Amino acid sequence: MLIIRMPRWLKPLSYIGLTLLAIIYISPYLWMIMSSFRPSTEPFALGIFPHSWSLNNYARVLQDPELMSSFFNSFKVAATAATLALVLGVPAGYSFARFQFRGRDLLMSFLMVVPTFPGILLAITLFVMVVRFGMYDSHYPLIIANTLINLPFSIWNLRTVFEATSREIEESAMVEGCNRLQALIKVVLPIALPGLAATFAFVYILSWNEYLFATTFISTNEKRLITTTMASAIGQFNVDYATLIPAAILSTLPLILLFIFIQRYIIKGLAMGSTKG
Amino acid sequence: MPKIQFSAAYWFILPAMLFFILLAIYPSAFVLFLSFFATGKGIAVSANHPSFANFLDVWKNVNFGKFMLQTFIYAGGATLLHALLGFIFALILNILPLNPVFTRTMRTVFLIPWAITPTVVAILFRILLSPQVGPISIYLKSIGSPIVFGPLGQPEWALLAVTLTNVWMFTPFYMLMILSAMQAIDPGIYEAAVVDGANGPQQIFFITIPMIKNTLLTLGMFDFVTTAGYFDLTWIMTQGGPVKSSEIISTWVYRTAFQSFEFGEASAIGMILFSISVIVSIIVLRAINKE
Repeated sequence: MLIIRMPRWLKPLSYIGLTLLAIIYISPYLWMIMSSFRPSTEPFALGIFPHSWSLNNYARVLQDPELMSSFFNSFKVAATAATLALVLGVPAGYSFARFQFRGRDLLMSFLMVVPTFPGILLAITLFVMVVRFGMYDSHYPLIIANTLINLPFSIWNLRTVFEATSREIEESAMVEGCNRLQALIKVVLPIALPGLAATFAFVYILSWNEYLFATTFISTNEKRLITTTMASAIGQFNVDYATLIPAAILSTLPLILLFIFIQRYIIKGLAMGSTKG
Repeated sequence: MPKIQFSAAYWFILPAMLFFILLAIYPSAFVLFLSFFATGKGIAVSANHPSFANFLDVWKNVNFGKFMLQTFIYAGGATLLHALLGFIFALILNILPLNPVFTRTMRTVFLIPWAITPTVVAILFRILLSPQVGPISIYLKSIGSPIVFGPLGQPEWALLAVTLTNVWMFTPFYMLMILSAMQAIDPGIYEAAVVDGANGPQQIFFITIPMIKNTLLTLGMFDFVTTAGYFDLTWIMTQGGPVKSSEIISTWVYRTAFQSFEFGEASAIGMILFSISVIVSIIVLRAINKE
């Protein structure tokens, strides 16, 4: 932390200034939230606040079968991908945290390089494989693709989670007759639960946000995810803003709140993955 | 570290690595194969002889230079602005001696744009910048301004508008990373500098910046490489238009693969992108290791 002396009168000013800066920075999104409550007859009238507040737009989203099935599909894909990223990531992250072994550094740098592989290239190769295996227009390739691109983060983050748990409890469990795997499942995982939940949540968020694979692998409307449904809605000639805007809020606001809740558990993993050379 | 336990360590890592080998390494080899051997429409592959035909087609495309330049403007511009704004935000949050709870709250608020689904960011800015329904345009009309505000439909402005949207969305992430690098600096160094009479700007230029330089370089490299291949925002905002004025490599690859179904040529463009990524990474990593 830098050491500077600040005149007394500057302190209240800097509170106000920083608050204003933050509000201005997120004002586009605040505008979107406000607009979702405007009556559908005047979605884009002037003024910051709606003239009259209305929940009708949200009711229309909840009654729209296509949007609701898209929400459900996104949930299905994201939850499965996050589970898989955890199932594969827990043992790997644990191994990196606890063992010193030949090839460890090489494997860790490999995990760092994976995210620099262009997603669009992965989309082409996976598309070709998907078509060959007859899995086009199904959710399976999406689940696999999301697991794949988020697994490096999952391993990185779980490694920091396990490094923070105490070695002694698990060693005493092993003295009492547990093997390594039992000690991991019975002793380490319960202690590491917040970190596990945060990793799951972040992979869930990233998979929910994914667009490229969702638009490449799915063609039927009923199978679309919420990202592709909204992206195609904005491309229409007559955009139904009164439904699109609340749908966009519904698909983002819960995840933003979730993200705020988990952020402190993922910062270390993010910093490791993207800054250590 | 305990005694070397080969078997357990490898068994634990095996599932994840098998997954990577099956789904990352094999496909990467496959895309390399496609870029040389796939010819014509669809995924028809003729393995008769290695051929540079796909790469030559890409090279001979009249727009090759234009798309490359646009990609560099987009990725380079976004990277510089991410680093600059991210540094300023992080510095403000780190430097002001305010209530820690307040500072943490502000950091969280600044993070919000990064937590918004990119698709929704693209939709949001399409609406905000729309000449028909956008609030800026409506405001300009209400005061009788003759200006038609719709940068996404104007070839001169579309690329800039997408770049700035990207900056808005991803700066928070760089702020977070730079901030955590700043907070990792040993406070004793600042205390020693203050004893020697260093003022605020001197502490920033002679301690903070040198201490986080490697973080900035690695972040910048990672940023440039991933932004050059970033697809969602550009595709949903402009589809590379109008008249290809915001087309970048990723949208070009997508168009070539999934609209023209020329997978060989698309893979070749993608391989060029990947090669640039690898070269940039090597240059930056070597610069860091030199010290």
